[in-house]
Amino acid sequence: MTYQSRRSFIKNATLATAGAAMLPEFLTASQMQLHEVMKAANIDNKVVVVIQLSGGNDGLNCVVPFKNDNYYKLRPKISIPKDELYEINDEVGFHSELKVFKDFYDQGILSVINNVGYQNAEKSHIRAMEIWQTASGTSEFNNRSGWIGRYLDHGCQPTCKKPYMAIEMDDALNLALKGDKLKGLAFIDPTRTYNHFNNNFYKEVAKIRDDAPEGSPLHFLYKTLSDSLSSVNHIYERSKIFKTKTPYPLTQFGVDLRTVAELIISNMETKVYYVSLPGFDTHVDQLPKHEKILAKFADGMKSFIKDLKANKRLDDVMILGFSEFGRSVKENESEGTDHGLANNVFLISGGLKKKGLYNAMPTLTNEQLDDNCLRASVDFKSIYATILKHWLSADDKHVLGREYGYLDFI
Amino acid sequence: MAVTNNQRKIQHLLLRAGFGDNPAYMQKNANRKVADITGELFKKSKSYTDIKLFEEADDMFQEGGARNKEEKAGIFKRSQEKLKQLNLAWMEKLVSDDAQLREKMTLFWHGHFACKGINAYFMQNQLNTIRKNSLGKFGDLLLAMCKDPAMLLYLNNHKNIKGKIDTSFAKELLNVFTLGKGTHNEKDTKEVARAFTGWGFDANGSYVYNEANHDAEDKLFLGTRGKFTGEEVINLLLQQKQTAKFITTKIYRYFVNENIDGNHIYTLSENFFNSGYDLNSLMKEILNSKWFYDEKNIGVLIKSPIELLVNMKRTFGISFEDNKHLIFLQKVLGQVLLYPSNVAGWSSGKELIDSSSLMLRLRLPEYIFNAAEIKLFPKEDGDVETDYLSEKDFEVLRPLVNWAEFGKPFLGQGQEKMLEGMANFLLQQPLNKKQIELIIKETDSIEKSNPVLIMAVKITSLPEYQLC
Repeated sequence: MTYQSRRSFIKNATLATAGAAMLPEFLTASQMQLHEVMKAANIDNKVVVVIQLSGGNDGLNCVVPFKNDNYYKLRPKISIPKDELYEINDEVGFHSELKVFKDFYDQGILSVINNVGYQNAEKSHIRAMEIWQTASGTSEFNNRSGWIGRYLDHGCQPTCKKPYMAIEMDDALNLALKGDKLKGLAFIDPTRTYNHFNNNFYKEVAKIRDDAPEGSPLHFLYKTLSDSLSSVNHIYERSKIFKTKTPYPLTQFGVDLRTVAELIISNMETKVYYVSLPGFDTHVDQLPKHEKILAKFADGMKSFIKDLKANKRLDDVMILGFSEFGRSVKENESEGTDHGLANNVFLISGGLKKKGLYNAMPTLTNEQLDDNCLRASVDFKSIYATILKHWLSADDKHVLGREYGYLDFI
Repeated sequence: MAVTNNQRKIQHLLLRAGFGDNPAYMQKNANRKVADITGELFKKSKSYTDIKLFEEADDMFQEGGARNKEEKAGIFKRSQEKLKQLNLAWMEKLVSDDAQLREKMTLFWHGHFACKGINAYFMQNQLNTIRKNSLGKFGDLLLAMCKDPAMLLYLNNHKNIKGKIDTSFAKELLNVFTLGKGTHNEKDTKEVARAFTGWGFDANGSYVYNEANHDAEDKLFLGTRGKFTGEEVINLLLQQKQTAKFITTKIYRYFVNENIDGNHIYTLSENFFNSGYDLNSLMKEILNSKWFYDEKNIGVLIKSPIELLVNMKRTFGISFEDNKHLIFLQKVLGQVLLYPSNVAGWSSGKELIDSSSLMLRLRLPEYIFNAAEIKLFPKEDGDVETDYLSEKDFEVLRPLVNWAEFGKPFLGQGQEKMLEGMANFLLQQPLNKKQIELIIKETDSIEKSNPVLIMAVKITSLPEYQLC
């Protein structure tokens, strides 16, 4: 067997499970009614889905300013010509693989925020990702807690006590979902995770250590174990309620989004879902590589939005798509781009107040650039603050440690 | 093997000051005086030998560098391979070297002076510098780290030049290496950065002082004025009792208890300061103290992933069919040697535990001893240069364990005695009655081809095994 990663592994794995467990119609129907009931009773079940495009997505080749000479001048070999773009106005068009984003734009469910970043931005992947995940400043080093984890700690008490209130589709939990007190739950396949945990030995073990002193590390381990067992059990039960009929691409990203959609449509209590798509680090031969990864991204999003819409949940879902940094505006000698600074951020939801291009496209003039990379004009933490405050009704100041102001996309 | 309070103390010592030991050792030494074992520990850590895998830096890192993208890709590939080799060579030292205290201290310092880089030769030299100085004078180690090419490169000091300072290095020196946060202001940081202008290195991995880049003007640091050089700043930092206190506290948290005892810290750091920052004396004072063996300090630290792996390898004498599986395990558990997450080092204690990581840790014995299929993949960083750490080319681990050797001290006294002996050896938190009944029941329910293995898997699958 050759080397593989999660990305390639899924192709084999999903073929085996696809189509299994289609549930009777009546269950789906009752689920739909539950949603209607909640809506009528004005019960808030708003959720956030974070899509992390790992590696540094080249946002400039996603949302292309085709009237801007600087763009073509700085990228003689890897710019996208106007006739390959899906134009949304006289100046801007989406990458040819992002046709579905033009559809989202036309439907008024997409907002693109340009020039998002922070002061003294970092160009190392890990460090930049940590900064986004923890919402900390460049000179702060926080290995402990992320913005979603702290939302669990402070934002959504008392209902947020369970790990399943924030879910990441991965084998391991990233820093964003770790709080000082509470931590989210990472898994890929609810059934597989359930089978892992659903082992009599662990169940018994969790019950019989009743003599560990409160506050001790031993007590902490046992509490984590029993919370994990009950969370996994709950997710597994919920995951059986609704199985979507919407076809999803058989990529890891597609499968992750399908799981998230099924949980959202099942009215799972989870407030935040987190999905990653790696593969955006395009230093060399960018055009074909970027095209491929964008196709994966777009195919997944297409099914996901279609599914949420068909099940009347798009109005309750706020999707935030980001990358740890943008790429250098100027292409490098290897027909690629290097690590940059600011980038665009995507928001997709049926509940957007300000749609389309949220702010002006970068002009790419010298005063906007720093060593050929785009400077930030919007702090990403103000996007978090807006979502925390206006979407999740949380105390953003407490979660983020200070005020960053709000944007008006909600 | 009958457990005595003495045995638990020896285990405590060996788990904290090293990575534990195997049952045969414990059987032989369980009744010896703890003080003698402590003395032996220091004696065995006196000697030191370099890890020498690479004689020089890759040519391609030398003057001129890569000529095109193919060459560049080639350098990275080779370097990644070398970093893996270096990782495994050090792992081997952690597991097998008799100088257990030295290696444990090295792991501590590697987290303290957190650094990573693609140049394997530089990283090898840095690792050796830490290993060499890990039980010496802190001041020597600090100065050596400040002159270390991998560190200077990682913290951007080659870009810190007179008139155009870069404070990355100065920030870490003050916040992480010596005083700690909140002890100085931004102005101090800038003044320190000025003192370290001109500190650089060459492609061969030697420290180079470039006088032309050095800012020799007056600086004002911590209320003292002078034309400070980097060395003088380091001396000023060592004159601060806060530095002794900061280092002592960090060592105490790592070796004794995350909850510190103010009185112990005070005495230890005063003595540390007065000894001229002698690490050997500090460690002796801690490990020979009576309070080190207080009940509240035993079995209360959460093993870091490296401690967990090395401890298992040492205890069970595990050898892997393919050593690269050890890199996979480090990555999936969240701590890769020579690859700390950031300048703040690795997470520790409760930060390491969430539902997913705990589940993986509890299942680890199944993966290692029972060849359970590993369906998980390490998290990808999104960085093409570190993708290699997330690769996986196997479904099951096939390690070799000498079960006869491991089981010998526990056999021949009936099942309950065997469990008692094994649990007392593997766990520092004693099991309660219900747990003992459960494990006996579980062991009975399985057809016994190898009762030692079955029992060991059950015991190591308990949350108690995560503690040391």
